[in-house]
Amino acid sequence: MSVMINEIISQFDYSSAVMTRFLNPHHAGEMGSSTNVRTAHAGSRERGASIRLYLQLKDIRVVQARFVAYGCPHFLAAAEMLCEWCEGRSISELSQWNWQSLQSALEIPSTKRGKLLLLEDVIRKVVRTTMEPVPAAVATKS
Amino acid sequence: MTSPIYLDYAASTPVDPRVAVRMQECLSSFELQGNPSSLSHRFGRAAREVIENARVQVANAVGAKPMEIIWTSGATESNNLALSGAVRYYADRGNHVISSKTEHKAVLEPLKKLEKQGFKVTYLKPDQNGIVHVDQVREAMTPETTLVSLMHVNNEIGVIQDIGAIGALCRKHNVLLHVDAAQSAGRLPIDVHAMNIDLLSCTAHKIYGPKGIGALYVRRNPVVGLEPLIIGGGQELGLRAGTLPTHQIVGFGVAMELALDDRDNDGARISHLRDKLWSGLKSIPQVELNGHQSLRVPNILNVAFYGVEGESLLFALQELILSAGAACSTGSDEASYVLRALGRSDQQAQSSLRFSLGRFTTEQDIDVAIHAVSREVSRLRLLAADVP
Repeated sequence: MSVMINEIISQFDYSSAVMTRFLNPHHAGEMGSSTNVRTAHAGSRERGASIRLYLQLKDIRVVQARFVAYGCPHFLAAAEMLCEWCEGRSISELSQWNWQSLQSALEIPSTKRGKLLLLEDVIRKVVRTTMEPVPAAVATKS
Repeated sequence: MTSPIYLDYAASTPVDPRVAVRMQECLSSFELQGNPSSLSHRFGRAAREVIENARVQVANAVGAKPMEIIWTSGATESNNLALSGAVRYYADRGNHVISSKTEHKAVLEPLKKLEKQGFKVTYLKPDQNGIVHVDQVREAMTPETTLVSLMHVNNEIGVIQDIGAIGALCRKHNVLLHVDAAQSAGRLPIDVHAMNIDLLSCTAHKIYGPKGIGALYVRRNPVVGLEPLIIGGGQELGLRAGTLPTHQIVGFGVAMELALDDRDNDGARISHLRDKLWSGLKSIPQVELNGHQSLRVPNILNVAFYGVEGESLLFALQELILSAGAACSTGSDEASYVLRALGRSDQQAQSSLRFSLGRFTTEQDIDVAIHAVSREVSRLRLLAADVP
């Protein structure tokens, strides 16, 4: 079979790691605002992929990660796997995350690389929020 | 896991067991293995006889004379032969062709090639329901127009064009009319003479026949000239060279005859199932039917599920086999150009699925489909929450 046909098939041929996470994600959902919850958004529905990531912190570690997302099965499975990876990590470890490890673990075709870069964007953004002061409204509410 | 439910009949239909039996008989009979052009011996004549019988079966389905049917490898080849063949043959009369933005790629790509060769093509934009109006065709005509090419039934949204009115206009202006009838031949009544059609493409694999065989109707009185694409042994009146595939042609003929015999019953039964499916789907919030509400074939339903990403919905529906649009566009993550031409945004088009029903679809299949789609649309909308 030609390389091109293999590439086309792979776009719709989801690995079992993708299937499991797409059909039964354990980290889907939102988190209420709180001083120890940090969140960020990346992407847009118009561009075909959008994610909001929530991280609940205790001191410098992530105790719980959640996401809501719009996108293809590869993107949604990748968001789930990113949350799995985040839990238990320190904030400084989060900065080191890159999309390549996730691409190989989930066998995501190269045509979807742009969507994985969105995940890198969202995690960088959420790490940045940990360096900012907690908004007054949230601080008061909590 | 039980077998998934097939709802992709517009892409291709399974071969009807009655067709398969006749094809198998052809392949098993030594006498029918002769070359249908070897008329000097008994085996060749036997093969030729069953081929000519199939030609009558296909001709009857569109109101043509048997000699007006040319065998091809499928609707794509028929479209190529009709467009390139007629436009080049009549190049001394004019260099302008009229078609529409929602044609199948098997029409759009040959037209693009003709444009590169210096011909001019006007692509009409259908209205928001997918209909091309006869006035649009009239206004686009110039003294240079030699051919109008429009599909009878759109493969993605199932709307039916008013070919009779467009045919009358073309005849009045002495312009040829080519109709891509891949989705309609055998399903809808067609009379090429009454509808003033000069060239018509059809195929076997959309009507429970085998893949790899199709036909082009070419009007003989007055004769339509074509420059052949494939030349060689002079088969098919010199319009399409190549040894005729006896078993494929016999399969096509039987499939067409069965389609005509079953048309009314099949149509009514499938219409009922389609209505039941739509009735179930439209109870899901934020859904919209793509294409005209009533000018449509019974078997195709194209629905937008707003706020849901199409590829994810397609994959989530593990119980169902269906498409987001034309199978020929698979591999491209671009939004459907057909839905875009109707004025849908990229996101709306990407949120749409095509359900196409057929002879073997059951009431229970529709119940399962409605349940599965409702469940997965809700799940994916919840997963996306309100991300912008």
